[in-house]
Amino acid sequence: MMIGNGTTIGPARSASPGEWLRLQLQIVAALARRDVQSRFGETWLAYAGSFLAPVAWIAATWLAFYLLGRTPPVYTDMVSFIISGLIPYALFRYVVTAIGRTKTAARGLMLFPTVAEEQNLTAGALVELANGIILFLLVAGANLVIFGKGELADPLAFGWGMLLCWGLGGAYAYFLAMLSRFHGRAPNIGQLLLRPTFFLSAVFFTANELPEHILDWLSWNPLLHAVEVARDGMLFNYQSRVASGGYVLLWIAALATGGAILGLMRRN
Amino acid sequence: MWGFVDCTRYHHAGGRPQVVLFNASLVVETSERVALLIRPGQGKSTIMRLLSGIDLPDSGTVLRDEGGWPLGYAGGFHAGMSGEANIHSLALLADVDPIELSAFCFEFSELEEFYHQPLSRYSSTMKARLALSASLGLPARTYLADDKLAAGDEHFRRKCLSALTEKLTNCGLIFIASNPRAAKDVCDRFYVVSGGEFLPCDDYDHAATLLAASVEEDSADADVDIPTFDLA
Repeated sequence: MMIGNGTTIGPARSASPGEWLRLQLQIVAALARRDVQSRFGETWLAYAGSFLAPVAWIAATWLAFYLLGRTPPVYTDMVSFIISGLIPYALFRYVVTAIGRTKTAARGLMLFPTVAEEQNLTAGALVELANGIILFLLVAGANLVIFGKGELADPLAFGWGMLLCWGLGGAYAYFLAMLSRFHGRAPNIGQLLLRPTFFLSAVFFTANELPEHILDWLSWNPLLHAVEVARDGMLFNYQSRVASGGYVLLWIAALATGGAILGLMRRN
Repeated sequence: MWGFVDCTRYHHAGGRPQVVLFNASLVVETSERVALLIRPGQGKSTIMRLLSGIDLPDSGTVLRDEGGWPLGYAGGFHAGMSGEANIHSLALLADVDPIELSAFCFEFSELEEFYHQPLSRYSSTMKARLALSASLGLPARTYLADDKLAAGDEHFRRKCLSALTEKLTNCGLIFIASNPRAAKDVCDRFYVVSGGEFLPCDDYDHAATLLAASVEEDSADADVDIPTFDLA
């Protein structure tokens, strides 16, 4: 038993690693289910209603393209081009928002000895990953059924891009959550910093069409890389010249490590 | 083992920082039944939050054991979910059989058809009944109680106290209360939290007298300037 300043301690868990892992998964699954039930209600209709906002976002982008007379810069249909950038981006934003919300939404549960903040964050992030996949299936499916158009060149590569967006959002939100233990307004500032990313992350344009001097600057943005990895995987006629999954992974590792260090600093 | 080692904690009341604990120490064994008596508004919930691990002391160490469950705590329930769904979720978090816990809660709480309805339709007493049922159905090693051991009408209160007494034969209780009478029959050791310290008491009567004296002292101090603390 180690006693340190400000540390809360208890006896070491006697459960085996396998048993411990099973319990963690069970708790995360229970928290995720509770999150879905509390946010979307107990009916499937209420859950389906939660997709109206992102669908409206896609529709608004389509309308803006239509009104501005913009055509897809890649040989594909309009909806496929829009969702190739917008859905990975939405996944990133929604996971940041969801994790930011768990702190207040699950505050009441923190009094239970088995529930930890990290489990809440994981549950919130997993719910958003599922939502992102369902949203893609809904929109791409509707595009196929209604307009007879749609493409998914490399499902694995697209899935990898989606995972990178999700992981980047999760790591960023985790970092903010740990930072908020020192500065309560950190999540608000973190959300504000994300506002310009819609215009800087190749959501409604491609990195390939950017002038070199602008791309030099924007390619520092890890979200641009993650979105490009997903687009590269989705569209048959697009091959990104900058997409780097490794660069995004480095950012995820750095943010997660930074968050973990902040968490340990606060605990000690 | 539960307790505090040289703990200091401030909390804000009425816009001013106030001392809850100042270099305070206390050790409670897992199966002990201890009452911490404190004047209303002097940091009862802060001490509860420290023991639950959701708050950290400004300095010092909080000793926490595993298996300490809040008694009659309804804050973890979600108003949009039914009583049954809330209990099911709680059972998974506590790693107990959801069907078994749900059956116990349905019978113990006597909520009848309300058990299957969203908590938004519950009165506060009904929520308290559900929360107490859930606590008493869980395999706690130590209960952490915040001013409340029972709720509802006389019949249900008696039922709760009887079930709690039975549970306390093999588990502990840390009861943080502002009303000493509630602790009289269930606790073996008594402390009064005053001046940021845990003052040990010989028995219940001593604790009740000491708490009453600290309340009077508090009233006498009301006209005096409230001390502030440099938290920088």
